[in-house]
Amino acid sequence: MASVRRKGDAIRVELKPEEAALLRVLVGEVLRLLDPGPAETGADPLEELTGMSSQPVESPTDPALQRLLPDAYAEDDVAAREFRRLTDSDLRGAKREALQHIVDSLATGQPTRSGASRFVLDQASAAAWLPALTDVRLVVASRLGIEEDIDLERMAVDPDTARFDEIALYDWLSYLQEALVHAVAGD
Amino acid sequence: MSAPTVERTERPDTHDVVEPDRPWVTIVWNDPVNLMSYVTWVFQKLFGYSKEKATSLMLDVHHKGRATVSSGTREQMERDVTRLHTAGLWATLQQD
Repeated sequence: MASVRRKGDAIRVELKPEEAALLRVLVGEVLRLLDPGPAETGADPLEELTGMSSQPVESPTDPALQRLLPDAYAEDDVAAREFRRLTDSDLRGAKREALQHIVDSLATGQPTRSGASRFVLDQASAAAWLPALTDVRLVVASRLGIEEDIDLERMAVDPDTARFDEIALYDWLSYLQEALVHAVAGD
Repeated sequence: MSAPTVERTERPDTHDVVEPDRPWVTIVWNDPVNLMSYVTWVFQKLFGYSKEKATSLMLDVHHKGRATVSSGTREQMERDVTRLHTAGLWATLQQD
């Protein structure tokens, strides 16, 4: 099981090699999901200069991506579209940057005597891990069909649920994030 | 007191009047994924709220389904919504 310990300003994380490998795969999937922003075809000079698209940027059709990049205006479609046009590229970039922190941290992992992979996060890196882990969990939850607070509990006790592995994965990600929040917040 | 020289016959159309005094607000909506501890941390970090205030807002989101977490100009609220989206929270802005 993952171990997260704070020592001074540093946070020491130990993951089993298979946990680290799995996390790396999941982060890669979310990075890919966020990657080809509609405004990032390279053919838009305004976007290249400012991060703002000169073309309309449609709301994502993939529910997971829609959750990562939600509408900023709930009751004003015109304003929501305009805001998305101006900010979509920057938001994707900020999320990718945070996710890349996980990739980079995992790459510094050193084997411990017990066979775990150990790496150390400074405060800035740990603060980037938290939103990145959130995005990974949002995508896994969306694929699992978790839409209400009660869904996960219902799935966990439903004998017909054939997705125990995914639920276990989601629980593990939640455990890791919870431990990291407490380490970062210092409580 | 003198009578007005020009009789005012039209009332302003209230639908077209801009109301600059009505503040804009940022609303965070409940979702089944975000951890209570993380949401509290985000409110503290982004808005500089005390642990108590952040916890209280988080509980409003959790129990009431939504909470107004900040208010100000439209531009300020757009910035807050973007920061909340970057953190993975579900947020929108609207005029109060």
